[in-house]
Formats: sequence, C-alpha cells, structure tokens
Amino acid sequence: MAVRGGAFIFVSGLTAIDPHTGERRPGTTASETHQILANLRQLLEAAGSSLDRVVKVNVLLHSMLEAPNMNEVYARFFPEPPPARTVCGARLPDGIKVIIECTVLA
Amino acid sequence: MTEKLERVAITPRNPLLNASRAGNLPHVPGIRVGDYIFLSGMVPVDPQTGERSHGPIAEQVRLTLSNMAHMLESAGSSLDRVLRVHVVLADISDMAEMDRVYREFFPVDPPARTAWSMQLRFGNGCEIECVALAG
Amino acid sequence: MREIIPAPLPGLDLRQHYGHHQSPAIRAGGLIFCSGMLPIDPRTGERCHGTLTSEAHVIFGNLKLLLESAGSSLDRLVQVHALIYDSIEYDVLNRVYRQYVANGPPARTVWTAQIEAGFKVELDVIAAA
Repeated sequence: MAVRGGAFIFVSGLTAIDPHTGERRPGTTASETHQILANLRQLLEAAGSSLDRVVKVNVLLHSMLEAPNMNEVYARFFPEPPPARTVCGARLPDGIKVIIECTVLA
Repeated sequence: MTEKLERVAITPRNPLLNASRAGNLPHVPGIRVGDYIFLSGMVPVDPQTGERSHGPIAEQVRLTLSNMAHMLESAGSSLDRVLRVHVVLADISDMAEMDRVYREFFPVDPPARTAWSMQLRFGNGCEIECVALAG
Repeated sequence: MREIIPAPLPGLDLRQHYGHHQSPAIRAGGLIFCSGMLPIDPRTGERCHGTLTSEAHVIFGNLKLLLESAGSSLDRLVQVHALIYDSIEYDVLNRVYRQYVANGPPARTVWTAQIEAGFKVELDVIAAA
C-alpha cells in the first residue's frame, strides 16, 4: 500500500474498499472518494504521517464528468493548504469509479 | 539556503533500450536527482534486437520489467529499490495477467503501484514507469 | 518540511477560478511537485482552448512562471507526465515540447487521457527545487 523511501512515503493507487476486510465498496464517485480518503487518513496516521503532509495527489476518474463530485468530497478531507494534484479520466478496472494515489512527506 | 539538487540523466548499458536516443525524442530514459531515480515509461522491446514485442501480455510485461531492471542496474539501482510503479495497459482486461507476471518481479515487499488502462501507441500492450531509490 | 508555492499570477490560482482543491505546487525534499498545468491565461484564469500546439505553449509559459517564482526553472524538470487527449497528436506534442526542454530534457511518460474541460494537453511535472 505505502512504501517509504528517502524523504517520502509513496502510496499506491487506492480504491474504495472496506479497510478491515479488503472487500470492495463500490458506489458513486463521491462515496468511493469518501471511502478512499477515509482509508488514506487511517493509513497515514498508522504510518506516523497525516493528510496535511501529502505533497502530491493523482486522481484517476472513470469519467471527467465526475470531477466536481470527487472534488466536493476531496475538499472536505484535505486541510488548508491542500497538496498539488492532477486529475484525469482513464479506463479503470472492474467498474471502479475512482483511484487516488499520493506522495507524502514521511 | 539548502543546496540545490543536481539532475543527472541516466542511460541503459544496452543502447537498444535507449528509446529516447533511438527515436530522437525529447526525453531521457531516466533522471537521477538526490535520493531518487525517475524513469520514463518503458514499453516491451526485445533487448537483443530492439524490436517491439507483439506477444501476449504476459510476455510483454515480463520484457518490460526485465528492461526496467536493466535500466535501474545501469544507474546503480535495482528493482528492489523501486518505490512506486505506474502500469498502463492498453486493455483493462489484461490486469490479472499483468499482476501475475508483476509478482514474479516484486515477490516480497512490493513497491506502491497504480494500474489502469489508456490508449497506448504503436500497439504496445503495456507501458510501465517507476520511481526508485538511487543506489 | 512542506512548503506551498503560491500562484505567481492570479490566473494560476485554480481554487479561486474553478474551485479545484489544490495548491499550484509544493516544495518538499528538494523537489517541487506541481499540480497538473492547464492552458489557462495566467492573468485572468480564462481557458485558452486551441490546437494542441497552442495549448502546450500556454502550459509551458505557465510552468516557466510557476517554477521560476519558486527558484527553479524548466531546465530543472525531473519528470513529466504529458497528458494528451489522443495519441494521434504524439508527434505534434513532441514538436512543441522539444522547444522547451532543449537543455537536458527530463524523464517523460505520455498518457492518453481524458483531460478536464476538453483540453487537448496537460502537463503534470516534478522539478528539482
């Protein structure tokens, strides 16, 4: 999931899963974004880091039409000032609506 | 004031794997900066002939990751120092096969990975890039 | 430490203009991580739709402004993800791209992706600080 190297922690592209069972939690782009970022917050805290140490986020969406839905949820998770980010649309596996990866200051 | 990090271009020992030079393209195979090596996306190329591989996806992924290992070793690093991998597949249904081969190269403590599908050029089945710790 | 690089000109503040929850760039660990740069007017934030070539010129101009404001430059680019809307424009991308990276180009991967607002190109870059 997350690998530390040098000054940074590199987090894999995360999808909406139950953090305890690993089961997929498919939903809307907004609900999947919420699940992913809640999981990310837990993951970073367990690694001694936090959402306010994220430097760069890449968001992959199954459709760019959903960008505002993702952004509305996203804005609630990342405190001021937010990390750098790139968002694009691509073909995602298994009907997944959103994948989020990030690079974090360790 | 913190000292500025220097950028150094890296090249593969095997010139047939230097797609940047071969194609006279505006990039380098990789850049070393500070603790890190950032590689350009790599595609399935036969290291003995320089020819593109048209084989099944498993073979393409295997070739690409072998070439990536060579690229990193040429720069004094290695696959076990890889921190992050981006795998782009032309066909999303190749995910399982890709993953099967991928695990052969990263069997223990694998790097962070994000995999997805996009349109790829020249009929390539995969394109793979990574960030690794320098040697 | 993580340092925010603010928009050097008001048009590059995408939060204000488009509600994008992102900072223009962040400096950390000797590197500068930039948000995906789009073809927008750096003074007004207006979208500059055009050909891939014209859009790329605007993007590189914006990146130059942003990186130089942070004490870096296009010559210090380390890695680029070049997002293009269709791989058929690959050669067109290269023609304009090479004008800006002549002094030792960075690593690059080209992604054919769906880009926001129907733009033809976007550049996602990391530079040495």
